Amino acid sequence: MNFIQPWILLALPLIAVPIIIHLVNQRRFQTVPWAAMMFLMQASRMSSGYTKLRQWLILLMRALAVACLIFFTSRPLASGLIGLLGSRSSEVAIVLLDRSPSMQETQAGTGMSKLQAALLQLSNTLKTLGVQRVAVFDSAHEKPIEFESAASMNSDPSLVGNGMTSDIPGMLERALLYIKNNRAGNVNVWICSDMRESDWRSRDGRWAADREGFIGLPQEIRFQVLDLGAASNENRSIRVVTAKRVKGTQGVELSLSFKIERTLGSTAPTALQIPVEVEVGGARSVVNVDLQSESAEVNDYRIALSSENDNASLDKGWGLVRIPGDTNSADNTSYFVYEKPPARRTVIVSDNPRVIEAIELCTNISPELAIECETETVASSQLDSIDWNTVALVVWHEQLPEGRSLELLTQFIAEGGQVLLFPPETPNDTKALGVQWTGWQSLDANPILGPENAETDPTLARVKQWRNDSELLGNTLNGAPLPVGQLGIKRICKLQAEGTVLAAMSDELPLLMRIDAAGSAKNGVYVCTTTPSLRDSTFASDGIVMYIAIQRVLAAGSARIGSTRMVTVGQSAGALFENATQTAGDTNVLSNQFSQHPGVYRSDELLIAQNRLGEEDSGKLVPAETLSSLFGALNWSRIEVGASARSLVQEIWRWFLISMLVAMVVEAILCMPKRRQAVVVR
Amino acid sequence: MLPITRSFLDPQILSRLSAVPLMSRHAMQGNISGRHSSPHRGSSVEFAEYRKYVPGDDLRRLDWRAFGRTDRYYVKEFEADTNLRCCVVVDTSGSMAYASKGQTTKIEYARQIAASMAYLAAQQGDAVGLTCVAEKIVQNIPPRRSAAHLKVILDTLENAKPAGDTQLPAILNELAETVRQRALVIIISDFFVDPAVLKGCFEHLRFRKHDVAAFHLLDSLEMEFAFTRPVRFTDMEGGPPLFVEPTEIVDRYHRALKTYLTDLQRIVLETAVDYHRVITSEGYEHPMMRFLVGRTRGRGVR
Repeated sequence: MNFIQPWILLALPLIAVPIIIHLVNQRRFQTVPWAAMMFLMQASRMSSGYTKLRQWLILLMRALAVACLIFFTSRPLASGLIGLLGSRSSEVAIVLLDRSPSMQETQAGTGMSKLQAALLQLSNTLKTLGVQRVAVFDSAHEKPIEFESAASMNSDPSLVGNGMTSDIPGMLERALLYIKNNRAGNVNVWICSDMRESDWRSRDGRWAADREGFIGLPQEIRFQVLDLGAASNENRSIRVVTAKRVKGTQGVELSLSFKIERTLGSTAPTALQIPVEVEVGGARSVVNVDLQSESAEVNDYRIALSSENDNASLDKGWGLVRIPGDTNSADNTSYFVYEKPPARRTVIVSDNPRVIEAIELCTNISPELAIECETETVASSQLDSIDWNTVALVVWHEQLPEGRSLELLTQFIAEGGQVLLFPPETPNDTKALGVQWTGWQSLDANPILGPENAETDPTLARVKQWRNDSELLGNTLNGAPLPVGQLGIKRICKLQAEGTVLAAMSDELPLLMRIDAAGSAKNGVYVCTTTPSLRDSTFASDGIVMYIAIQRVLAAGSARIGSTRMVTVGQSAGALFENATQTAGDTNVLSNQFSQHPGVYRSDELLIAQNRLGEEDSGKLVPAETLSSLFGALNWSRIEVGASARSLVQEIWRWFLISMLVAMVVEAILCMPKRRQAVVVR
Repeated sequence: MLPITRSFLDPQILSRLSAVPLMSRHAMQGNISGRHSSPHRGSSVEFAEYRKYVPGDDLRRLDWRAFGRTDRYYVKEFEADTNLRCCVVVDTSGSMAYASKGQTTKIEYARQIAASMAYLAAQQGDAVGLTCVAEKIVQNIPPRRSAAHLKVILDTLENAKPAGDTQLPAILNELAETVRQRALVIIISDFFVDPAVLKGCFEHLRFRKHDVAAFHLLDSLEMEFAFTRPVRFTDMEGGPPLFVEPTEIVDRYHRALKTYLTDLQRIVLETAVDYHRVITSEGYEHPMMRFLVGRTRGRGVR
């Protein structure tokens, strides 16, 4: 229980007033000469029984009435788990608002989404607490949205749900900066979220920095996590995995793969058939998908792109998949675009013919008939002559780039291009793209370094560990692992770099790394610490791994080529939507918010399909233990809230007023003189 | 009769009370002829019985008619009327000084009853005595018939001061032994003693063939105990004081009072005491009238 005016509680010692009056009254006795002392003596020897109890009850009721009066005037709040909020409430409140698609789930009975319910409850709560100014942080705005009154949060159009997955650690980072810059006093930070792992990013390294930052603040910061995840109901979502334009038996076809997932909430899974509506170029078709468990996936669903009148639509177009409405309408539609696949062009910068030959074999052989692959070998000095808009991958096997070469590569990477670095024969001290080679090291066949069941050549060191969930060495679509363990490594070039190790010979000797970029965006720079040369490894002779890895990185790089893009909300550059027009999607979205909402957009010749992050559909929540570890020593509490309009804190002075009246009535009844039996005189 | 000039005597009340004679409930043994029945045969007009003649009897009292009818000698006997010896016992212990606000003190009330009783008795020729008791017999005036004796009694009553502890039971026992012959013993007190002890005293007086009457004086505040604020009660008879929260104790006080009164009522019935409980806020005329009238109904009982 908390109080809006806690200083009134200083008057609590007044509870003793009835007792003091009682004691003073006993002191103010009158002296009466008395004849019938024998009756008094007899009466005092009798058991007092109920009379004593009555006296104590009367005193108790009086003290209770005073206590209730004090509590009543200090405006108590019924806050459940909120803790000592009311007494520490400041005029400024900071709200971190999760506006992700999962927060748009509608709650049964109320007709409100989680986001609306959270805003309504929060505004009522802040109003009750007397908060004058509210700063709302979300993932869509770099700066906080400030409100002069809590009530105005409800109707603000900038706080409606969008398609962006929230970045709670990022919001905390900005909130910390805001508190520092504004020199706010004690602040309550309210985090409204449905506790999805995709929003909280519990493995993000920024959590530690946020924690330390808040702990280092001189003022007291209290975090209130409004957990809206507990009230989740069964919900189904659909997401397009791939949409490709292919040549099929009936001519040009669209190969569509999509995935349906459902979060069950508290209900038991039941098998059901979901009619999925596919709309391509204005033509609609329905495909029924059996959903037995929590997810179902449809791969390579073919739709003929036969357009007799519009040849252009054969080359490029857009579409959507939709499932019937359920509790959350924000994840019932997924958009896609397709086009005639552009040629995947690779640039090899190397002077080693053996290496060039091995890589060319991997880059020139297309995994699909419809995709053309081209490879060009250039010297590092000829980079200026390359048409970078058509390049998907750069394989660099020379001294690390410097000067103009580095600029061009950096620009290429920033635009989504992929770079694969191999160590030169004689590395120098150059440091570029976050990598610095330090020298070659020969590897001996050592049980520690490789598996004991080396099949071909027992003298070769084997790859000790690799990540089969990563993008380059991940398992194939049917779940089979790549034969990375069969690769033999003769020597590797040691390096200094910060990144994610995808394969390693030992803990100190990485074989394949992805270089971390600043911020959270993925970087397109991969480093292999050996070469495909037979002198260094069996990459070329056991070419499956290298072929698949290079094709995967090539596919990632080719996403920047062409006139269509399939992007995820919040992970694409905002410049992509400048001058864009909406082709499909929520028509209520303002043009300056296109980057926040799923849909199909057209910007000049570019056709963009934007969808929410796939992790939004998984429904995976942050476990309580993880949440506890995220906040660590910070002062925080978690409040599970339902979807209702009630305030999280409520003034309960009425109860104290009623209690005071009851106490006074009981006291009056106890004090009421009893009807005594008349003593018979005769 | 003497002129009445005492503050505790109201001539109008006395004149009204005089209309009813003061009678004894039992036969009295007086020295002279009076209006009360005597246990002995006398020369009144009221026939008592026939008795066989024995030599020595006065021949004038021989009933010749009976001799004529039965041929036997019978002497005719008549009831004797004698005077009354009235002993008024007044409690002058400290507790008799009590009076609640605006009320008459118990001693003043006792004076009014005692003086009125003495006047009535003297008026009808009975001998009146007065005994003032507290820790001991403070004043003892034996019963006499003379008119001047009434003045002594009234003077003694006027000068009686309530003080000291009550030793009423012991003194009543003493009086039972010292008062000669049959007498009307009127006790005026608040009787704040154990009823069981009182029972012994009353039985003793009855054994000595005294006609015992008791006026039990109680104050209205003693009956009601209507206090609200804490009170320190000081014992008027010198006992230790007692601090009391009245609201806490009032119920138990009433229980104790009720028990005491019930016991006392039972005892006076068992010992045939002419008991009158009097609240001092009530005038003394009515209790006295009840007392006198009650006795006229018992006339003729020997």
